[in-house]
Amino acid sequence: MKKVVLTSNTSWSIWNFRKALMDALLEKGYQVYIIAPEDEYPKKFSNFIPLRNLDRKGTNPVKDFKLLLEYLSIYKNLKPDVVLNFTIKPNIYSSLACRILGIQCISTITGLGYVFVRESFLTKLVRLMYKISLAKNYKVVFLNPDDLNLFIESSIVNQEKSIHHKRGRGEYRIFRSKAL
Amino acid sequence: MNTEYFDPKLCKDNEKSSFVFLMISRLLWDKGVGEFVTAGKILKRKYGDKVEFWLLGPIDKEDPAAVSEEDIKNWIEEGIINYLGISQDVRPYLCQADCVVLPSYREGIPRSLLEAMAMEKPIITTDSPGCREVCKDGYNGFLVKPRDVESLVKAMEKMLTMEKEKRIEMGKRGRQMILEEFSEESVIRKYQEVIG
Repeated sequence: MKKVVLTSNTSWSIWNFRKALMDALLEKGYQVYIIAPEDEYPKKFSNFIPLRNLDRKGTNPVKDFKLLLEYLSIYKNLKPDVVLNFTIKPNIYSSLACRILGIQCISTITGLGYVFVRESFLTKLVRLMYKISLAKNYKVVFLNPDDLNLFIESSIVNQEKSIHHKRGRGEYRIFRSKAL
Repeated sequence: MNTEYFDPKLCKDNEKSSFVFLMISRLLWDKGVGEFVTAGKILKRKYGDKVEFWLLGPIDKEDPAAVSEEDIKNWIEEGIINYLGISQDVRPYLCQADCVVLPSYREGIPRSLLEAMAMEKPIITTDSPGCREVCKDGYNGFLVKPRDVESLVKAMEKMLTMEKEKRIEMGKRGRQMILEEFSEESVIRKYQEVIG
């Protein structure tokens, strides 16, 4: 039975935005693990692994390095077959952990948030981090074409290796990311 | 989107005397809360009790763009905003709303607008990434300039003074868009294909 991890910056967001996906995967017979910081929502999940070092808006590199180590240690024990990342910190640090351990990993760019609303040094840093961490992602999923185009223009992901899913507007577009 | 959960059939007849603009969002400046409140202030001056501005969502202290509790208190005291706090089930509020607004600066795909559309509510949002994906200007709502109160006021006033039937028609088109373009099943299927 395939082990699938869903990881996000809050368990609230998984409950609100990814529950249908989680239920569908469970129904298909996958073993689904939710990995996120602890709030009132974990009680609702059956396979929940708490994250202690995810500071969702923090920019402290020491804290973030601890998050990477935490992901590494969880994945080493759990040995998931596929990891699905949502939101920026998991997209970067869970992706890096997957890259190091050779785990198949798919990131969803759920929106670019305040870092991309104002162009700053942080925007440049995040772009670089995304480039390194998404390089070995199996797929990258975008919720809107603007974010997708921005990532292609900034050479974070590559269009050539992409798979288009042509349907109505708002459809998820799934792209294969570029290997560095 | 789960169109069975977000179903306008759940709403009872809406017999309010006032017109309700509802914004559902984490209370961040980047979501356009400031523009919503300022537009509210301007329209309140003109329309008084005929128009209400409801705000629903948590204060997110961790976010650098968070609105403070003090701000919200002031808006309530000034009589502009009806702050509804947080809710596990937003459907009863959506039922009461005549139009749902999200003047955000950037989104992935704005969930609160998808939910509003599924409930046949016309929307007002900005011509910005993510937001413009869910609104066809003049079709299921209005698109306004981001960070622009004047543009927002204009659109809200248009919505407010529009014939009721036309507004209801806009809302219906929104639900149709959800059924055709934003179905939960197709998204899930896509993830499953990738996972293998």
